[in-house]
This record gives sequence, structure tokens and C-alpha cells, in this order.
Amino acid sequence: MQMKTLTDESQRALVALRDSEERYRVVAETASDALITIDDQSRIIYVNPAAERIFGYPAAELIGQSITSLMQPELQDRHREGLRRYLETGQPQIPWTGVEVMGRHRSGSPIPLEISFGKYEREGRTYFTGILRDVTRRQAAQMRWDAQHRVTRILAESTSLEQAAPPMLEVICRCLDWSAGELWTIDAEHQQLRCMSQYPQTQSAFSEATRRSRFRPGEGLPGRIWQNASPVWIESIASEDLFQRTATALQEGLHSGIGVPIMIDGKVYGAITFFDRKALPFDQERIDQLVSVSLQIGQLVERKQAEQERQEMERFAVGTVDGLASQIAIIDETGEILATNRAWREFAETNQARDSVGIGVGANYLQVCDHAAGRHSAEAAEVAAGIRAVLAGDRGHFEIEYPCHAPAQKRWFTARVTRFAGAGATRAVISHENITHRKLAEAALVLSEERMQRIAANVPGLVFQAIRSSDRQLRLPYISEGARELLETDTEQIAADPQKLIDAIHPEDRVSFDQSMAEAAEDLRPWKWEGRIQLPSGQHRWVYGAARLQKLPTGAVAYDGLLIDITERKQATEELLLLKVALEQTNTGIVISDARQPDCPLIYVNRPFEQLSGYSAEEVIGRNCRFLQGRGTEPAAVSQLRDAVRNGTECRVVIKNYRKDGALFWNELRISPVRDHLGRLTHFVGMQNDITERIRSEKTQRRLARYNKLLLESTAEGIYGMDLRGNLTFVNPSATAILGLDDSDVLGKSAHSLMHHSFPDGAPYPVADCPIFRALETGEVVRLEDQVFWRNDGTSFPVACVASPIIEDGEVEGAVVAFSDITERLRTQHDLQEAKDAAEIANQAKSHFLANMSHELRTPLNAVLGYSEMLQEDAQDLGHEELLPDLQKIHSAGRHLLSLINDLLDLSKIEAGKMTIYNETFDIATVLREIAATVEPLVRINQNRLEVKIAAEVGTMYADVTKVKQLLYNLLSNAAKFSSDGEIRLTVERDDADNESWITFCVADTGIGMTDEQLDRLFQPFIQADDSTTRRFGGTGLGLALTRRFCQLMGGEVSVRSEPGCGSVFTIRLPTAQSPQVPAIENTEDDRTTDDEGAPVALVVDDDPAARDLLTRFFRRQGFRVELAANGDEALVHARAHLPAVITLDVMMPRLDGWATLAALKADSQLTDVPVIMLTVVNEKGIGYALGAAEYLTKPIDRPRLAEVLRKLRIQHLVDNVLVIDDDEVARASVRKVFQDLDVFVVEAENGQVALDRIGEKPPQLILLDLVMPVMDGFEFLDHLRKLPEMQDIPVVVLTARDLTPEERTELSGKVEQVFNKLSWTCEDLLMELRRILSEFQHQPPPNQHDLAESSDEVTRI
Amino acid sequence: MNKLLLVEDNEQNWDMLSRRLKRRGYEVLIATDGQQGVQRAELDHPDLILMDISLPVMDGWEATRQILAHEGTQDIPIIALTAHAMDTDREKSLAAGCKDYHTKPVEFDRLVEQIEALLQR
Repeated sequence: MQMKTLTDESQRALVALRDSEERYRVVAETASDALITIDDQSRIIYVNPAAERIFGYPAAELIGQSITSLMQPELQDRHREGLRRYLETGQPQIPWTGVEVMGRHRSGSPIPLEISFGKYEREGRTYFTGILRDVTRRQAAQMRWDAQHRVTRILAESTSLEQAAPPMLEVICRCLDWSAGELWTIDAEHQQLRCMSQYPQTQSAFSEATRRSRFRPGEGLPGRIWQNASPVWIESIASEDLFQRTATALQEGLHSGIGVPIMIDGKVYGAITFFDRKALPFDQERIDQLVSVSLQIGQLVERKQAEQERQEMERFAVGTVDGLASQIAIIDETGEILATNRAWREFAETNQARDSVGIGVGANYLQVCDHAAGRHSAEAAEVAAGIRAVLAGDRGHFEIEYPCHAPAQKRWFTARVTRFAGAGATRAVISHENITHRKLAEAALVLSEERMQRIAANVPGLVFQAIRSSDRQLRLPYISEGARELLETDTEQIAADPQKLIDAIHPEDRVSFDQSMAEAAEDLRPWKWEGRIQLPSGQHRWVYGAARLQKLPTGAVAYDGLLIDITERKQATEELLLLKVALEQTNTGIVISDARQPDCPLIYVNRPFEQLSGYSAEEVIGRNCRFLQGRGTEPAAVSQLRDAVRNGTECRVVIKNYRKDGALFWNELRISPVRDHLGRLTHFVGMQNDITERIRSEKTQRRLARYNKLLLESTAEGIYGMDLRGNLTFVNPSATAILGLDDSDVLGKSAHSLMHHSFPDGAPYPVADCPIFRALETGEVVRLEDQVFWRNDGTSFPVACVASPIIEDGEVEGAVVAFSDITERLRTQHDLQEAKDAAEIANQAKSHFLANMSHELRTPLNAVLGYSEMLQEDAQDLGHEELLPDLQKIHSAGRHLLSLINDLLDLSKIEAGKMTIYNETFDIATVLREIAATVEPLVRINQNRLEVKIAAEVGTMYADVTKVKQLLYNLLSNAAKFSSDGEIRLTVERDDADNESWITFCVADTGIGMTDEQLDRLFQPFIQADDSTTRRFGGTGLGLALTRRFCQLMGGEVSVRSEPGCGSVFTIRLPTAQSPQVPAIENTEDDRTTDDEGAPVALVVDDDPAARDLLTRFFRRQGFRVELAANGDEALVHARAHLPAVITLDVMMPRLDGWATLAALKADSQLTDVPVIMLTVVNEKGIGYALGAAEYLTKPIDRPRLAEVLRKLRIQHLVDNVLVIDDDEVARASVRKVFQDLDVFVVEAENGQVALDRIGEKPPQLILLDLVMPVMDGFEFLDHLRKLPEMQDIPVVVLTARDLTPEERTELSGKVEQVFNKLSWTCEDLLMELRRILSEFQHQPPPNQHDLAESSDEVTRI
Repeated sequence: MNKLLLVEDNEQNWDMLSRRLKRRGYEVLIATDGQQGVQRAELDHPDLILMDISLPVMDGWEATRQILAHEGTQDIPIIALTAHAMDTDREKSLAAGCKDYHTKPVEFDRLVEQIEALLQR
């Protein structure tokens, strides 16, 4: 049983053992720690699966191996030492139990192990079994914690990230086993990451690359962290394309990397990156480690930033408080001063020094105040009470202003006490402020206001504040003392009654004053006003008022302003205004040019200048004044002006200028320079006077003086002058001759006793009765025709005399007496009177005869016609038809005789000027119908047809209807008479031409017509086409002559066209409204002017139609347009209208005679230069020339002579500029004189060279050339001259003393127009030839040399 | 029957004219000078007077003036008959108070028209 028990026991033991073994096996198999059993030789005999995993070997490889293969080399030695000792001593020493040692992974990497071994023996052998726990994780966690801890410490102890970064990176790399670490921060400015710190700090290519690298978001490892804002893991740098530093990293042996962002407020601030030499698989653990570090870094940075801000704020606050001028202190509830600002501290120091009272930190302010209050400072007591009240919470704030007067100066302060809740305890802030400046400023303000009032009282005017209420009431809260002076009224009175101010304003200006005030008030713009003040004295004063406006709450407007006396300024302004007006009113043209601008442009011209020049200001402003110059402007005057402008000097010239319309005027020009205060030339003022009139009148005066002398000497009249006493002052040659005086001893003698001493009968003639003296007494012209003068030889003669007083300045100074012997005239007058009387008698007799003849002829005719008519009636009544033809012949002969008498009568009436025209308005068509009816029987006699064509528009006309009828009857009956079996056409038309309306009556027949010869005589009285006509056709031959006279009488004309055998056409043209007084003018056909409008005008003045006709034809042939005048009045009208080139003037004319006309022409400034040729039967050349006639020709007109005169006169129109080239001064002077008398401008040159130099200034229109001269002779000059293109056409006349050789003549031919012999020319010859040359030159091409082959002694034509 | 006074000195003319006028149905009185004309006008009071101007004793102008000055004859229309063809004659006639004017030689039909025109008034 025991056995059985044993067995059971052993069985149970065995089972138990098996259970134990099984349990052990399960434990060993599933344990996470490695179980290794080794024998006493250290050979591994068992390893569990965990050991395989930890060390990386399969169990099979380990079994039998020495345990040392799982050890680090250093441990292997210690192990072998322990084994040896165990084997020697048998004492097992297990060195590592309970110790952490490093095992070795199959890969060689260390494995931290915690080891515990136990010994057991079996079968005599000792075995060791050990548990090896892999503590890598535990150790990592520990290291992480350690790293965390150390990083935390580093960050906590660092003041900045820059400081913390290097140790931190080192700790992380060492503790967390990284080969390299970097810290990146974002450079906000460039938006890139840059390395702030790196570990290790050894130099390497990689660290260099890192330091230099900058990463943008997404670039490289740091950039990717930035972009993702999350950790990035790089398992293998080599395979990552984003890794930029691959090359250097690999060179360094770095294989993997990791980075996490540093975040602040959810934004990436930077990154930390780490690298390891191993390729590390993703490990969240390591990431978490770094994330926590980065969090800490972020916090550090945030903390540091916050700290920095706080410190800045604090510094700012302290600085601010310290900077305040107010003294500030903080006290606690006891009054102890806890803190102060700089101002307080400074104050405290001075206080301490002065009063030995400490008020710095630690002092008790309340006690200080109490102490001061104890010294009777009421303010201090008040301050103390205030502080206490604030501290007690009775009031939140207390404020007081108080003076603090130190001995040397007055000072004021404010104290403010404000409670505030400090750190749990009651605190108060006390601030003191020095308000001394403000107080002083206030005091100064008061002072300055007083001063202002004093100033206001002294300004020249019055300063005021006026308040104008909305109902326009004016108050004057303030008005300065100036009122007294300005308004001459008491200031107080005005202040009391503002109406006085209004009353002081001139009544005419009150409205504007009130309006300006109101207008300014509307939009509160500054008030400005100018007006007059009426002083109590009655005087006026101009004032200027200005004010600023302000709206008052009441709605009223306040005007702060002043009134200033501007009377003087106003006067000055008025003076200026007057000056300006004067400038415009003067006759002088005034221009101002700006000398500072190039070419001195005009900047001002006055109105007189505009009138003077014809230019408007707009046209000339900005231009140089030389636009006035022109063709005739003298170069010398221009250069004088230029010199003055260049030198800035004053200059006065008389210069030929031109108006805008081209008219020449003489300008007396004065230019004066204007300089500024530094003496610099700024302007020129030009004064221009048109002195054309003056120059003309001077010319006229010179001419008149010349004429006067000529007149005195040449006139046939005796002329003497006498003084107031009647004594002779001068006697002209005619007077001496007529009176037979010796002119040497008569001057000073009494004129009366010399020549007027007796009456015709020899009785003495008392001086007192002398009518000539009336001129001296009355100052009036006395004309006498009934006196006789006595010759020296005692004979007398009848005189006509005119005594004209000489009146100077209103006083009679003497008289001029002109007399002529009228013996001849009286005789002529007598003869004339007799002749006239006889003629009148004869004329009367003729009229009487005509009237009688008419009467006497008509009376028997009356009977003849009457009885023959009666007999015709009787013969018809009694049936004696055979008698009728004879009776009709008697009757018709009587009628013919009657018409003959009538025509004769008409003709003689016309000749006698007794034909009267009775004009009336009549309808033309009606009258024509009447005529047609009358003439119809006549027409039918020769089997003709009458056709009348009246244009629709002929209407009415104003004329003598009877005469019109007679005219047409004449023409129609003629037509009927000279045609047979033909057609007679009467056509009537109206045509409007030359501003006049005409009616044309045209009578055309198909009759026998006329030859030219017949036509020529057609309108002559008593002439028919020929005698045979009379025989064939009868008629008086007066009809057409009368027709023509009637037409002329009615202002019309009759004309005829005819050919023999082809009929005739008679045309009558009459004005529709014939003016009542048309003088009967003969030969009107030629009176009309030529059509050539451009031709010069010749005005023919003559009352004789024949002379006008002749001259008209003459002038037309000469190329003139002709204007006609029948008397002086007409002549003046035409002359002014046409400005003729020449005038011919008859003397004996009705109304204004030739002398008066000539005088009037010469007195008209426009016409004075027009040459007048006297053409008269009166031979009074002296008077003609004296009155300014250019030529004097007597009738009958000598046409060649007139043509010559015309050519002479035209020279002045042909040339106004002559160049005289001669080395002989005398020769030049004589030529110059000739031309200057003609007002021709003369340029002189001493030789050819000088002439060439001068010729460019202004090309002459004629050159007078000497041949023999120094420097350049005439031949050479000609060569040069003709080479100049613009000089080729200038006529050259040679004046030479030499006899030219044939060779020289040949050389000159074609180059010059004429050669004069210098020694023998006379002025008249020269001028004559020059005129001829010049006029030819203008009208014809240069003369052909063949035309000039003739030669004479003095004048040689080449 | 209208009574006409013809004042005319030339016998041929008054003979011829009076006969022609009578043929036209007028009663014709004759005076051979101005004085007679005035007297016959007063005595016979004709309806119209034809007055030659060139008359012996008293010329036509004067006779006309006297007839027109006389109360009994002042209303008698007078036609001047004149051989003076000068225009002034016409004016002088009208100025003397003649109602019309006729130039010799007489255009008989026209003269009758003039007479009738004045008698109708």
C-alpha cells in the first residue's frame, strides 16, 4: 500500500513535476523576457523564443555558442574573467545580476538588458539560467523623460530662443540619440526659413550647407514641415527627391531625418529637424518626443514675446509717466508715498533742499500737508482734507488750484487726487501740475487785450465790432478811438447810437453799404466795402471797410473789422485813371515795347495808335514795331532807330511809315528807354505823331512862299504893302512900272500922297476920305473900281484895286493893295456892253421876227387849209367828185408848208434855248397804240405792214409825251415813206443799266437804206440822204435833226444802222425817269470813260463840250481813264472821288472858276500832290504857277506839247529814289538839287564801289552814273551791276564830261539808257529826258539799241 | 342853238370859220377887233367866245381880261385862237382866263370837240 501510496505519490509527484515542467515551458515559451541557460563552460544550452527575437538569432544558431557572443566586447572580457575564476574556485560569481548591461544584437547594435541569473545543478553539473529583459523601451522612455526634463530646464533658464537653442539641440541629440539637429525659424520679411542653430557645431560640408540654406514653403525638409504644419519623416534621405542637401548629408553619413514644426497661435513659427546615420523606420514615439519639445519651444517663444511686450509696455508707461510735466505720486491709504515719477522726484529734491521737507518715496504726504496747514496754509489744509476724502472713498476725485509763491517768483499749481484700486489695497494718485505758464498767459492775454485796444485806438482808421441783428438793427459793442478822427464824431456818441455811423455814410453810398453788409451776412464771407463818409464839415472822405463775420447763437451776425481812410489812395487811383484816359485821348500814338524780350515786341498800344496806323491792338501786340516800315522808309532813319534801341538811348526821328492799308504817312517818332531801379533797360515807350499834314502844309508853305515871290514879281498887277500909317512897306515891280516910280526911294513914303493924291478931276483927295484906308480901319477887304491913281509923271489912270488888311493875332498890322490899270478893261467892258446890247437887241428882234413870221405864215395857211377842207366837203356834198383830187393837193401842200413852219419853229426854239419839256407819267403801251393808229394810214400808202412789239414789262415812263409821240411819228413816217411792200417793226423794250432805267424804241424798216456817207450827214438839219431823196420823197429834212435834238433834250439818244437796199434801223433810247434839269450836252457819245479800271485817271475840267471831247480822246489814247467836269464844283467832287493822276483845268468857267478850283485843289491835303495842267485861253502863267499849277498851256490845245507835259509830270509817279554816282561833289550836289526839288530821295556815292555797297540797302529806281572815277570806274560798276539779278532792270543814265570813243559807246550800248554830256546839260533837258526814259521804261521793254542810233551834240542815244 | 362869238380880224379866216361853224349848227356872231369883241359879248351874251389873240385896237389878252372882269360876261367860256406857236402863248392864254387854247391853223374837228366840251359844262 505504501508503495502504492508512493507510487501514487510519485505518480502525483510525477504529474506534479510534469505540470511544473509544462508550466515552466509555457512560461518560458511565452515570456517576453529572454530565458537563456548556459552550462558551466558558458555554452548556451537553451534559449526561449523571446531570446531569439531580442538578439536576432534562431535558437539553433545559439545553442552551443558561448554566451559572450551576445555580449558587447567589453563585457566579454569581464565574463571570461568571471568564468575563469569560477572554474578555479567553483564559486560562481555572476557579475551582472540586477545590473543593466549592454547586450549585442546580431546586427551589432547594443541592447540594454536587465539581467538576473540563477544557478542550479543537475547531474553534477552546474547550470546557470538567466532572465534577460530588454529594457530598450524603458530606457528610451527614461531618456525621453530625461531629455524632456533637461530641455525644459534649458528653456526655462534661457532668456531667448537663440540662447536656448544650442544646448537644447545638444540635449535632444544626445538623449534621444540623433546624429544632428537643427532649429529653423521663419524670416518673416523674406518669407523663408533659415537655420538659427545646429548641432553638432563642428564644421562640415553638411553644416555649411545647412547654414547657407534658405527654404520657402514646400522646399526641402524644413519647407515641407512649414507647408504642412505637421511633422515630416524621411526614412531614407537618398531616396527622397525633396531633400536638397542629399549629397552633403550622405557624405556625412546621414540617412534619415525627421522634423516637426514649432507652432505659435496655430501658425508655424519655425521647425526642428534631426538626422540619424541609420535608416530609421517611422516611429511615432520619436515624433511625439520631438512634438512635445517643439511645443515647449513654442511656449518659450510665446512667453518670451509676451514678456518682451510687457516689459516694453512697462518701460513705455514708466517713460510716459516720467516724461509728464505733472508731478505724480502714488500713496497708500496712510498717505505714504509709494512711487513717484521723475517730475515729482525733481520737485522733491528741490523741496528737500529748500524746505528740508522730504516728499520722496517713503515720506508721508498727508503729514507733509498737515505740517504745511499747521503753518497757516489754507490751501495745504484743503489739499489734506481732499486727500483724506478720496482715500476714505467719500469722493472719487479731488482737484484744487493754488498759488505757491516763492520769494523770487510767483507760481501756480493744480493738485488732483484720484483714487484707484491697487493690488488689493486702496491707493491714490496725486498729481501736481505747474500752471504758472497758463496763469501768466491768461494775465498776458488780459494785458494784450488792453494793448490791442490801445493799438486799435491808434490805427489810422477805426476798429469795430458790430452786431447786426436779423432785423438789420446795428449795435456797436466796440468801436475804437479812431472814430473820432475818421468820422469827426465822438466815439462815445457813435457807440451809444450806431445810427450815427450809418448817418455818416454818404447818402449815395448807403445802399451799397447796407447791401454789402447783408450780402456778406448771407454766407458769412468777409465783408468788403468802399464808399464815402460825409464829415460834419461837409467834406467827403473815401473809406475802405473790411470785416470778418461770425454768426452768433442769437442769429445775429458779428462783424469784427475796420474802416480805413483811403482818400489819398483813391485820389491816386483816380489820377492813374485820368492818366490812362489821357493816354487814350491824346492824338499821339503811344506804344510800349518790352526790351527784355527778343526783338522788343509791343506790349501796349493806345487807341490813337490804332487810328494812326490802321492796325488794331490785337494785330500788333507781340510784334516788333517795324511793321510800319515799308518801301519808302528811309534806311538812315531806320538805322538811327536801331542804334537807339541797341544802345538804349532816346531817339527822335521823322520817318516815312505805312498804314495797314498801305497809305504812306510821315511819322514823327520819339522813343524813350525805360529803366528799372537797377538801371537795366526794360521797356521802350514810343510816341508817334502823324505829321503828314504838317509836312504837307510845310511843303505847301514853302511852295506858297516861292509862289508868293513869283506872284509878286510876275503878276501884271501892281502890288504894294503899307503900314498902319499908310506908308509903303513894299512895292512890286509891276507897281513901280505902272506908276513910273523909282523903287529905291519910295519905301516909307505915304502911298496916298504918292499915287492917290487927287480925284480924277484934279481936286485934292484928302487922306481922311481915302476908301483904301477902310481896310486898315475895319480890317475888311476893300474892293474899289472907281478910283484913279496918279503916275509919277502927273497922268492918271483908272484902277481896280483890292486892299486886304494884314491881320496878325487879331490886330490889323497893315494892308496889301493890289491894283491894275483898267483903262483897257473899261474900254473892253464898254465895247463888250455895246456888243452885248446889240446882240440882245438882235436876239429879241430874231425872236420877235420868228414869232411874227410864224403868226403871219399861219394866218394865210389857216385860210388855205380851212377853205380847201370846206371845198372838199362842198364838192362831196354837191357831187363834184372830180374836183376832190385837186382840192386835196391844195390841202396837202398847205399841210406840208405848215409842218415846215412848225419844224423850223421847233428848231429855232431849240437853238434859242426856248424849247420847254413838259414831263408827265404816262403808260407807254397806251401811247404806242395811239401812235400806231395815227401812223397806220401812212403806212398803208406804200403797202407796208406795221408790226408793233411791246415788251410786257415796259410799264410807264416820266417824260414829255408829246415829244415822245413826235419822235416816234417822225421815225415811223420816215420808215413808211422810204419802204414799199415792206414791213415796219416798232419794238419797245425796257433795259436797266448803270443804275438807270431806259426805254428803247426801235423802228426797223425794209426800205431803201442808206450808205455810210449818207448816214454821216443824217442828223444834220436841212439835209436828207441826198437831194434826189427830197425830190423823190419830199420832206423838210428837219425831221431827223429835230428827232435828235428832242432825244438829247430828254436825256436820251438816237442812233441808226443801215445799209443801202437792206432797210434802216433807228433806235431811240430814253430814260424812264428823266430828271427835270438835264443840260443839253452835245457829242455825248464820247463822254463815257474807258472800261480799263486799272488805268490812271485824268480829270478834264472844261465848260466847253468841244474841249472836253477833244481832251477825252487825247487822254484815252495816252492810256488814261477820263473823268469829265463842266465846272469847278463838279471838278472838286470828281477829284475827291477818283484821285486822278492828272487834272486839266480851264479858267473861264461858270460858277467856281479855274483859279478858285486850282486853289481848292491845292488846299485839299489829299489832292495837293495831284499835278494840275492849266489849259486856258487866259494867259496868266504867273498866277497859275503861283497857285500851284504844274504846267500852264494856252488854248488852242497843242496835243504834242500836252503829251510832253504829261510825260514830264509822270516822272514823279515813276521814281522816288535815285542813286547818283560821281566823284565830283559839285556835280553830285547839282543833280541832287534837281531831284530834291521833285521830292525824290537821292542816295549819293563817290565811286562805283561805294555805290555797290549802298545799292543793297535799297535798290534805286534810277542810277545817274559818272564814268571816270577813282577806285571803281563807271564801266566796271556797270559790269558788276548787271550781274546782280535784281539790278538788271534799273535804268542807268550816264553823265560824263568825256567824249566817248566809238568803242566805249559800243561797250555802253545795251547797258545804259542814255548818255548826257555833263558840261552842257540843263536841268530842264535832263528832267525831260529822264521822264521820257522812265515812262518808256515803265510802259515798254528796255529800248532796242537800233532805235537809239541817232546822236546829237548834247544828247546821245545809244 | 348855241351862240358863239368869233373875234377875228382876218376876213378870210372869220368868213371861213364862221361858215364852217354855222354848218355844224352854231349861231355865229363876229367881232373884228378886241374892243368890238368886248362890246358884243356884253350886248349879245354869247354861250362861248373864240378869241383870236393878234387883234387890232385891243389885243386878245386884254379883251379876254375885260370880258372876264365884267359882271355880265364873266361866266362866258373863252377859247384862245392863236397863230403864235410859242409855248408862252399857251401859258399866257390860260393865265388871262381862257378856258382852252387852239393853235392856228384850225383843226376844225378838234376845235368843235373843244367847243362842245366847254358848252356841256
